[in-house]
Amino acid sequence: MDARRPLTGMNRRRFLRTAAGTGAALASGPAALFQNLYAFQATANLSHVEARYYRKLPDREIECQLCPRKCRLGDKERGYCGVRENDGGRYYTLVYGKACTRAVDPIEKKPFFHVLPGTAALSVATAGCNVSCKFCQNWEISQSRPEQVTHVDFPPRDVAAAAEANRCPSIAFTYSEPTVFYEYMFDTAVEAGRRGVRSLVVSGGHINPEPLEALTKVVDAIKIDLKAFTPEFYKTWVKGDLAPVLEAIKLIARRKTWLEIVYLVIPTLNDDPDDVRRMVRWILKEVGPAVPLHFTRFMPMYLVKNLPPTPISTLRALRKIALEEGLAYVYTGNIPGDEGENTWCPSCKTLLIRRNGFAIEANAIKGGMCPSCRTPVPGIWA
Amino acid sequence: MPELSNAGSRNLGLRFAPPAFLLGALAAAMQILLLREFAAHFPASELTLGFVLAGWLFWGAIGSAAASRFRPAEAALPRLLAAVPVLAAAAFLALRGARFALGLQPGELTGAGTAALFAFGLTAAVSLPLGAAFVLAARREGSASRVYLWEAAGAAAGGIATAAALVPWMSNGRALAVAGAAAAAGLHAAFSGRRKRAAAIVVLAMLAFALVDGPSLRLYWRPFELVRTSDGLYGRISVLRTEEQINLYADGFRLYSCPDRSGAEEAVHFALLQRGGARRVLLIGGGIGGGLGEILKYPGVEVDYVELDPEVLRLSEEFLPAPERAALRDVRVRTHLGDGRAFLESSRAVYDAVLLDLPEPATAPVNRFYTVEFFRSAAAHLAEGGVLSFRVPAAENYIGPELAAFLATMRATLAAAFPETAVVPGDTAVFLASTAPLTLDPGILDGRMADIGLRVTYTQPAQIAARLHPLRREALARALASGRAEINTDFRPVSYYFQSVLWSSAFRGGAARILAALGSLPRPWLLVLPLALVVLLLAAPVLRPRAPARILSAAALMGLTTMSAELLVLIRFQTLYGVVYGRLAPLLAAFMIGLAAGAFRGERRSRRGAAALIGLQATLLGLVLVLGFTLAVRPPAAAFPSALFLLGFLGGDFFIVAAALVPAAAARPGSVYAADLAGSCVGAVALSAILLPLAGLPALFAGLSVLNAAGLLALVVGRKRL
Repeated sequence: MDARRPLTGMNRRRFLRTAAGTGAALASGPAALFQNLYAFQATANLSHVEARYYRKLPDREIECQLCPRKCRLGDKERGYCGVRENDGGRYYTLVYGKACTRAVDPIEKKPFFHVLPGTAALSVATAGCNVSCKFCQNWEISQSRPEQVTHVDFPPRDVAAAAEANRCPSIAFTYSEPTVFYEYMFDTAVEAGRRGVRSLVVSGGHINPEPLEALTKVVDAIKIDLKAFTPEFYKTWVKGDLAPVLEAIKLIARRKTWLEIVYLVIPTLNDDPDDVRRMVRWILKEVGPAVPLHFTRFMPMYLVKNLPPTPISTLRALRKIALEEGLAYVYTGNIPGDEGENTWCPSCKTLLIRRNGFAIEANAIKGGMCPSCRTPVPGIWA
Repeated sequence: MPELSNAGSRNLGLRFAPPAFLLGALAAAMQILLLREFAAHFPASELTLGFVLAGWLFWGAIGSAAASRFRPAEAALPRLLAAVPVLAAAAFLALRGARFALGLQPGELTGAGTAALFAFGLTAAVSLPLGAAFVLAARREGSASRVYLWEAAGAAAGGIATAAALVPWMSNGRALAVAGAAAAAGLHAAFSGRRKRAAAIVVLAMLAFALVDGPSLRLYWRPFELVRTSDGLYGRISVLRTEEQINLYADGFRLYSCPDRSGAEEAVHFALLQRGGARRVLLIGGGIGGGLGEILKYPGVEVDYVELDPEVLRLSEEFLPAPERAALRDVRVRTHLGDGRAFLESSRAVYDAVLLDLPEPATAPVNRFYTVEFFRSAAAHLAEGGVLSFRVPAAENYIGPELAAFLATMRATLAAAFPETAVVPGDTAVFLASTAPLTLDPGILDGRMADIGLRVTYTQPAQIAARLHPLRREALARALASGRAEINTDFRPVSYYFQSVLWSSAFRGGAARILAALGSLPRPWLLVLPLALVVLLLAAPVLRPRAPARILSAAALMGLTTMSAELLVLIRFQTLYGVVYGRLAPLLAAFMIGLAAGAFRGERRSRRGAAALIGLQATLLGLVLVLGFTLAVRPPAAAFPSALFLLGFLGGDFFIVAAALVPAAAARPGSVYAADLAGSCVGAVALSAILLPLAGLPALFAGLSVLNAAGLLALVVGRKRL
């Protein structure tokens, strides 16, 4: 038998031709695969509204001025937040009016304990964030680009109307990081104000003074998540900086915009009593004793979902430290029914508001004052 | 065609080869222990376990091929064997130190890329020298076939000894130390002179490792206080104390924290409030974490509580505070140790509620509780209007496409077994199913709570009302409608593919996109593409007329087939008969014993030519066809070890015959072995994590049949060149 002509009658040329044809037919599979691989890159109904805080640089570059990162971007580049893009030397927000989450939440859930207790807040968010917390509760949207999430068109006017329709006396900009959808938040707050709807901001505080200053003129309350009081924590766990957040807190306090601070206590990472005591002393000095401070229980989430939750005794101990140091209103969070959820008069210790989770079981505050000793209780009560 | 006359070798063919036996025993022991240790540090899923297995086979093939190519001195054999347990101990320590190298907190998640890197890196340390040792042993013995036979026998013995004598009684680390010391004894007996020094070094190294085993585990969990750790039958159970709180972990996954009733309340009350209470409840998993305590709040209730891992119960009894322990000892609770699905299917009891409080379906053993077959079984054990409930991780404020697909699949699978289903939104989604209507009206649930006088913390009316707000329910409904809903079945466990995607999506890297893209492919492509590639390779005779290439291809196909079929048979067994530790080890041993027996048969053959190879290939094809066709029936449990024995038998016999047909085998004894392992690696890397959940068992057996038919055809067509 001729070794060059196997029994099948197939020769090398014919085999290669057949293989090539088969390969072409089969290639449509990989082609579909690659198409799916890069489907994330397709733009999808994004906004093209010019950003308000940036400066133009030569060669069509820009420098964002919204947050301390001050991203310097070339044409078609996006900032760290993923939702702002340089297009031909102009900077645009891609998420103006593009809400990926809309919900109605009890205001105590934000948490705001000194703002309209027992009411509901229409809560809105877009994709994006300017930090990357490993324990983020809303990482699905905060760590996503806008084309990676499904969003709806929800312009400011509609947001304000929806708040009225759902009988929500306030709108909360929350879940992800409202700083990154600043323009949307700002315009919605203005629209809401026209309708008598309050505006609340739930933020990590990673924002520059100028935009923050402007924001305080149109919103009613801001809650800052102060994630730790050490720069190391911010660097390792947040990929951000502590200093700008502290500056933001001071600015808000100076502007007299209602401020509450939340400290999410994560076991072994930021629960050191000495650090907390230093933080409380700083708050007393820079903000004053009347700012509500919440020590919230960490529930495992995202990249640290296998860490244990915060022991309740840790929260109670930190609350005790803060009260001993002189803060007037210190709360525990995520422990429904705990004594630390209640509001007490700092003067006569009368129980003013009894809470149980999101429920207000009793509210004795009248005219913004303690009914017993008439001490003013700061907040937005109506 | 070349034939080997073994008239002279028949007496030599079965001569005991101690180094080969030792090699096999070491390989089996190290593989079992390394896999268990890996699972304790990385998220347990079919994907990560596939990485380890694939890495093991890959490096074994590389080691074997490299030793064939570069021909290290035969004297290196005892040093290589001595190095294996020492390297395995180093791999253990590297695993425990991995989080420090990566800058992670204990319990912090890692992604698929990191898991793959560690899997391949660590298996290289152990499997590479083992692969090379095979070649050196073959050269020493003068016969790759004999080494293969005794290696298989050693693997069977080592596997059984590890599974039966080591794992149930000691930690992974101690088991490794004992196995290493036993290997040292084997080295001492098998080699003479200076090589005995290697044995002494191994013993010392194992002693040192045994001393650092406990401290290295405590170091892993620092800064948390590790109060106890125990390597039980089903994995590592660790107890951490954080102030007054006790936290129980299984393989790095937090099972529960106490006191913390948030998970327990939602696991119980959304279900039991549907009918205002229950008389008989079946609880699978989660009892220790507070589920029992919540159920016992309902008047007149009795509970069957099933827990798989006795170690969980034992440690919980030791560390939980008295009120939690009291629930376990309550007269209304009957605790059963064992597999929950097997318990239900063998029971005649009828329940008002069946509650699952288990991890998410990321592995084959757990996925069995989330399939339509299990749901139907549960439905058959529920009274009229009875409720089935389970929870899976979800997201409160936004449901992305990956999560939507998974949740939609869970919903569709439930709906295939129950006419009524409902889903409670939240950070965990609570699924409910029944034959009677369900309610998610907060007012109704609140009223029933008040009627019973239920005292709860996390499922109070205000919490429930917020969670079940119409906007949230609408958002969930939209997500469920938008997600690609599939049915999760025993034969097509699509859920753990979704879990792999979800896990990877947290890292936003390439792995997530690759997995998601694979899932979006039309299903036929998933099998057609790899099938076509392999068939083209088998058609290589036209391009590579030399016999060795064809035989190596056939050996690779044999490796791919036996590895794949073994995995599929094991998964099928677990699906039907449960995950009971004592049953799995004999199954794995059956395969290895079959391998050894088949190699024995191959050695004893009078003719080892092309006809024998073709006959074996045809028999393998026949076996695969039988396995595929019998999927529709439920074979007795004894059929599984028999099937695995046959698979191993054919593989062993095939190897011996193939090795005899490769003229270069004598010069490069590792080439056929490397081809075998390479084929097995291909089977391991993609099969259980991607192909099985997406294509399903029947399609995979069909694909294997097509491959083996093509392989048979290639052998028949090219037989004159063999």
